[in-house]
Formats: sequence, structure tokens, C-alpha cells
Amino acid sequence: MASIYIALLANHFLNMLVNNSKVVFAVMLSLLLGLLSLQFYFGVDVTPYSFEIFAPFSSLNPLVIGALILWVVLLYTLVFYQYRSQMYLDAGLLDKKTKFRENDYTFLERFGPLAPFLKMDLALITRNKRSKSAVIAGFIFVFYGLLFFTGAVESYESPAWQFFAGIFVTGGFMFSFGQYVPSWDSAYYPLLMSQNIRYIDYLNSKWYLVQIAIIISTILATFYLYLGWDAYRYVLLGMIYNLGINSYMVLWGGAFVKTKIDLGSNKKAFGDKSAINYKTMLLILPKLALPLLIYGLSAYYFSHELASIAIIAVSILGFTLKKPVFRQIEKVYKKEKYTTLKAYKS
Amino acid sequence: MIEVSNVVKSYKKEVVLEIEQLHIGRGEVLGLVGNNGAGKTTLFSLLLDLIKANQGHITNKEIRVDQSEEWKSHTAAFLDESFLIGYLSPEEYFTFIGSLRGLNKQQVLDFVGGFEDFFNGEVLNKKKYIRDFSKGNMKKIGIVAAFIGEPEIVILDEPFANLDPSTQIRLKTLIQHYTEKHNGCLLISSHDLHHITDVCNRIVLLDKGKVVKDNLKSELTLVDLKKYFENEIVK
Repeated sequence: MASIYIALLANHFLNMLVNNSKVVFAVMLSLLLGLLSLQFYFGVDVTPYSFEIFAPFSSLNPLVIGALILWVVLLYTLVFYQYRSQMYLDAGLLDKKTKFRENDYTFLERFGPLAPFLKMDLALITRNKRSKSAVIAGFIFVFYGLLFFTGAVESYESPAWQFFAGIFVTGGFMFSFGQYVPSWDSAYYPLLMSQNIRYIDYLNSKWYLVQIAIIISTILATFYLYLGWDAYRYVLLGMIYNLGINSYMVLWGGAFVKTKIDLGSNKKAFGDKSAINYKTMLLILPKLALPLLIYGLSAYYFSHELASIAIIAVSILGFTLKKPVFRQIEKVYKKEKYTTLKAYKS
Repeated sequence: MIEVSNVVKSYKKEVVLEIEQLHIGRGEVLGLVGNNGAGKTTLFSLLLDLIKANQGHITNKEIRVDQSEEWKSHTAAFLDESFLIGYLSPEEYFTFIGSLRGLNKQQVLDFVGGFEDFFNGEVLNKKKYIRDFSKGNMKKIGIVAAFIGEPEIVILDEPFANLDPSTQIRLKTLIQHYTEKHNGCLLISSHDLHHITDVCNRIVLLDKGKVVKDNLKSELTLVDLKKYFENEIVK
């Protein structure tokens, strides 16, 4: 008992260190990933070793307790010095200033009336903590398919689940970024609302951004070809469905989300309760349930070829419906304008 | 140019603004004065359609602000920091605003270059994001951005607050120059009676959401205004 309590205490301090220091976080993460990959790829079982380390905890061996106490004291001193270095207000403020980076966005000029918005969005993504985490989430999702395509989890081997993976592999950024449009711009929403901005241009620029991200994710996911053409086929199908339908479905859902986003902080970056309401839940149906049903059923009753064709057909149909859907989103924006402004203000 | 008719704005039955009729014409530099909670910012937010009136409506060049968006092309405002984009540099921000008003980058840079004096060398080419500037410099950035593209109607909430004395004087010159050159209208709110009487040609005094005085400057002097607020204290 005593040793478990002390170990908990140690974990607590370790947690504080991880939260405050990127280096500690990176070390911990790579240690964890390293051990995991040892186990997976080289068949080295690490559990006997960890057993050796943790088993004595259950005994009351004074040597073990002594070692643990030493470990806690070491962590405590580290945390203490770290906090002390951040004690002074001016030191805390100093490091808030971010280094300025000059970006050349002239290559975006070809987008004509959308160029100013795209430039702003790129700056938004690259210069703010919170939006960077959306990019990282999108990147991590590219590897999500490993769980599905390697046969690591048995119940994921049905065609519908494989296609599900395809959607997430290519659409990670789309989900993590798109669901918070227009909340990303919450800090200066009054400006956008009083400027000469057409909603359609605003939406279009976000839509292009999501499209580009889907394509980049698909390119990054080419390594799934190692696992066979079948796996990559699901990735490509996921891309097509995301491009054709999900990219604006996500924006549609975002229009109902009125969460003020603090760009400078990482809090609530993954998952936010107020982002879930019945309207956004309802839109999950066409985003995930519908394609899975279409693919799953036609693959089950007919063939994978037909299922693929069905998905492609639906996506092309979705593409042609972009305009009416955008008009619908525009209506939502207009209708919700005052409540959105109010929500962003508080 | 601007017509406010029978506008009532209330929060939970508490009326914060009630204006029967207010007409603002071309060439006017209208100063809005009043204590905190008098309804100055509420009026500006209504003019920009950022909040919805409970009754009545506002037209901007015969366009109802809550029904059409056409007025946005000839109107600009700087109310607070929510009109700035923190992660952009001032130049990027100006260019963005300019592009919304049909100006290219060079035109925008030429235009803001003319304000170097107002910026006092503290804003342009600093290689800094707006969020890292001081409050005073943020205000300068917002004010200048409101003038980009020379819109007919410019609305500034408390432009003198947070500025150092020299910049306040420069701002007065800036406003005077602008009104000499343009036949639009300018709406300014302020707590500073001196500044308001210096630059405005019409003064509207709000108290608890109602227009108490509305006079041309020639009729309402600084002395009168001071007297009014002194009486308020006595009461």
C-alpha cells in the first residue's frame, strides 16, 4: 500500500513535469512508443521486465520504499525548480512573445477572391498553438489505419470498418479543423461580421483548405500500399468520400458550434463538450453512418467492386450538391449571427 | 446618411437604449458623450448590426442594416480588440482589410505609410504580431485600418482612450484632415470632453440610454458639457 501511494505521488510530479516541459513530454512519449514498438515489431516482450520492476511494490521491503522515496524527492525537486523559474510575472510574460515569421503567401494569389482568406487561414494554422494541435491530430489520424489494416483487431476486419478507417486516415484534419469553423475566428468575429465579406467566399476558402488537407493526408498514407492494394483502396475511397461529401458536411456541422476558441491555449483541443449538440450529432449520420452502410451492405450482398462504385457515385453526386449545401450553411450563419457573436464575446 | 428610428434595446426588460429619432447627415463629425452605461457602445453595435434591436430599425444610406449587407462596403469601424486579428503582423492585417475594400497590397502600404507620423515609428516594419503590441499601439492599428479604402462612414469607439498625449493630438489632426477631405460622416464616442469638443461639429449626450442633449458645437460648448456632468455629481 505504502509503496503504491508513493508511486502515485511520483506519477503526480511526473505529470506536472510533462505538462510544463516539452522535452520531458517528448522523452516520455518516445520511451512509451519505443517500448511498444519493441514489443510489436521485434517480438521482445517487455512485460517480464516491468514485472520485475513493479512486483516488489507489493512487499514492504524497506529498500524498495527507500528507492521510491528517493525517486519522489528527485521529481519533487525538479518540479520545484521548474516552478520557481516561472514564478516571476515578467519572466512569464516575456516568453509569451512569439517569434515573428515572415511568410510568403503569394502562391495563393491564383485563388483570386479567396486569396486573402486562404492567406489568413494559413497564418491562423501555422501561428497558433490550438490550430497546430488540429494539424497534429490530423497527422496522427493518418496512422489510425494501422489498427484496421494490419488485422491487429479482429472485429475491425469487416469491409465497413475498413472503409471507416479510410475515411479517418484521410479526414483527420478535416474533422479536427472543420468542426470548429467558424469558431477559429471567434476572437475577431465582430470584425468579420462588419466587413465587406461574402459568406460564400469565407466558406469556400475553408472548404479548399480542407480539400487540400485531405489530399495531403492521402499522399502521406501511401505507405499503406505496403499492406497491399486492398488497404490503399480503402484509403482512396475514404479520400473520395471526404472530398465529395464530408468536407462540407463538416462545415455544416461547425456552423452550429458556438465555442469560443482561445487560439493561444491548447485546452480542450481534443473534444469539447459544447461542440456536441443534437444538430452536430444529426450530421454525423451522413458523415459516417451513411457511407458505412452503403459500403458495408453492397459489399456484403454484391461485391467490393460494386461497393466502391457506389461510394464514388455518391461522392460525385455530393460534389454537384455543393452549391445548395453552401447556401444552406449561409442561412445558418445568418440566422445564428447574433447568438454566435454573443457566445464568442463571453 | 444614418437614420435611427424608434430603436429600443433591452436586456432582460432593462432598457439600455431608447432613441426615438436620430439623423446623422453628410459632413457631420458626431461626438457621442455620456457616462459608462449610457449606451454609446450599444448604439455603435446596433449601427453595425452586431446586436439586434428589440424595436425599431436603423438605416444606413437608406439600407436597413439588419436586412441587407450592402452598407458594409461603405462603412468601417473600430470598436475594440475584437476588430483586430492578433496573429497577423500590422502590414498583413492592413492588406487583408484593404483586399476586402478592393485595394491591392501596394495601395494599402502606400496608404498606411502616410500614417507613419501617427504611428510614431512604433508600428510598421516591426516584425511583430499584433497580439504582441501594447494596447496603445493596437488601438493605433485599429484606427488606421478603419480608414483604409476611405469609407464614407467611420465609427470609432473611445479612440482617445489608451493613447499617449502626443498621439491624442495627432489623432485629432488626423480626424480633422479626414473630414476636410471627405464628405462622409464620422462617429466618435469619448469620455474626454476636451477632445470631443475639439474635433466634433455635433455633440449628442446620452444618459441611461436616452438622448439628453443634441446640439451643434456652436450651441453647446465645453463649459455647458462640464456643467452638465458637474450637476450629475451634485444630484
